[in-house]
Order: sequence, then structure tokens, then C-alpha cells
Amino acid sequence: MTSSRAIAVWIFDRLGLDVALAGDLLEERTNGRSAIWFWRQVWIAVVAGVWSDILHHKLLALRAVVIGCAVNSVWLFLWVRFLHLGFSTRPELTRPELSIESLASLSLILLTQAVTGWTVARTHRAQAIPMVLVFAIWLAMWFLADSFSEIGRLLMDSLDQPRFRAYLAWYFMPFFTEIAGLLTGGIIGAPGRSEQPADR
Amino acid sequence: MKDRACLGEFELLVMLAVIRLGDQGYGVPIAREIERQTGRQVAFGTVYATLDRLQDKGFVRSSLGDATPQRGGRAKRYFAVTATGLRTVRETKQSLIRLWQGLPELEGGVA
Repeated sequence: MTSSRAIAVWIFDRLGLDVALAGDLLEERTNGRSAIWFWRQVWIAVVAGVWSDILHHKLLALRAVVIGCAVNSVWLFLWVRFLHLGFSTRPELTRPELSIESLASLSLILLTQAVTGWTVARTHRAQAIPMVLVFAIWLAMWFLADSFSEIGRLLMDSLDQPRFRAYLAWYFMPFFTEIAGLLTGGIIGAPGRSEQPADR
Repeated sequence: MKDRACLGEFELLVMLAVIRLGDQGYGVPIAREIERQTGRQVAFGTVYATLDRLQDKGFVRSSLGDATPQRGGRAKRYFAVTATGLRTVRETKQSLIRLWQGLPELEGGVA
């Protein structure tokens, strides 16, 4: 099996998608379908499968958000109580530069969110990745709602003056790190198909 | 009026493809049949999502078949229409025919 097919099979396995669907796509690829066709089909299957999982398990999705928020509350408490690292994203306060302090902050965000993603995945073993994605979407909505005016201002500034693009990227850095940590933890925590409960 | 289960457009296409294929209906031929008969590209993921929904409604049943090396050792999942599914397709056809009748705009075949 080529590496791209192995990656596709791994994605299907991690997401707990139908093995017969993976087999159908592999069969079509072997029969001469292009790589673009194959990856387009994989992408659609992933989106349709994850969306279907979320629609079929609305209560679990709610539980994933509650558990994710609870774990993040613990991190927030520990951060405020014991750590005094700063990661200011306000352009008027700091220039976007990678200092030791900002690197430490980003590393901690990555690590803590990986643990949060892992926890959400392990507490929703049959729908691990879809539930981690639900929590990631929740965080994204929270971030956008909380920072809407700031993002809008930075976007407008970036359009007018290219030097503000670095500030815009810097503003998003903790958020992207957070999402990357969540997904990494979720992928690590998600059981493979052989470990998944049989009642999916 | 009795509440009847009705099929959506894509659900109907998938049901008809499954009926046409008989006992040979798994993902690849079902998708190909729809493409051949309608001329439109279909995504396998969408076909499977629809088949899962139809199975939840009791309109189709599935069973695992043989695995081949070209499928990476993964089994085929064969689909067959149930008696309830067949009745629902007939009812959907009747509903469409009733809606079709008496529309002068659709007579003749010239757009």
C-alpha cells in the first residue's frame, strides 16, 4: 500500500469511519481513479462522517464541550495562580516577537490543550475525534465572539498597512496553538478501530 | 391524512440504484449506477451517509461480504432493499406522479 493510501486508511481508522467505505475508495484508486479524485472523496467522507456523528450524538457533543471547558478551567486557575507568564497580543503593548516568555507561554498552551484534547477523546471513545472537533469549534466561536472587534480592527489595519499583518498573525498565534494542541491530544487519545467499543 | 415516510431526491436515487443492482449492490457499483443513470458525479461519503440514514429508517439492510487485496483487505458492505423500503419507493413514485399530472408546463418535453 502506498504511503498516501496508508495515510487515508489511518485517517479512516482514527475517525472510526466505515471500513467498507475505505475499501471502496481503495478499490476505485486501484482501478485507475486519480489521486485528486481519491483525496477529494476522502475529504468528503471525513466531513460527512464527522458531521453525521455529531448530529447523531448531540448530548455527547454537549458533554464534550462541558468536559473541555472544565479541564480548561483547571488550566486557567493554575495559570493565574502559579504562573506569571504573559503572552500579550495587543499591538499597542508588545511587538510580535518570539521571546523566551512568549515561547514558554505557547509551549504551555500547546501542552495543556493537548491534555484537554486527550481528555475529551478518552471520555468519548466511540466518537473521539468528532467530539474533540466539537470542542475546537466551540473554542473558535468563543474566541471570535470575544475578539470580534479587535480582529476586525487588525484586519482593517492590515489591509491598509502591510506592517500590521505581523500583528494580526501574532494575535492569532495562541488560538492556533490552542487548536493544534487540542487536535494533537485528540488524535493521540482517540482509540484505533480495534480498540473502539463495538456499539458504534 | 395518514403520515407517510417520503424519500428525498438523493435518497430516492440511492434506493433505485440498490434495487437495480439486486444482490450486487455495494458502494462502488451503487455510486457508478447513479453516475451512469443521472450523469452526475457522486461522492462515496455522501452515498454511505445516505445509506446509513436509509438503514436507520429500515429501508435497506446491509451485510459484510468478501475482502480483496485491491481493497486493502477491507470487506465489502452489500446493501439490499427491505419490504418497507420497496413500499416507500412505490409511495414516493405515486406521490410524484400525482404532483406531475395536470401540469401543462411539463407536457410535451420541450423546455
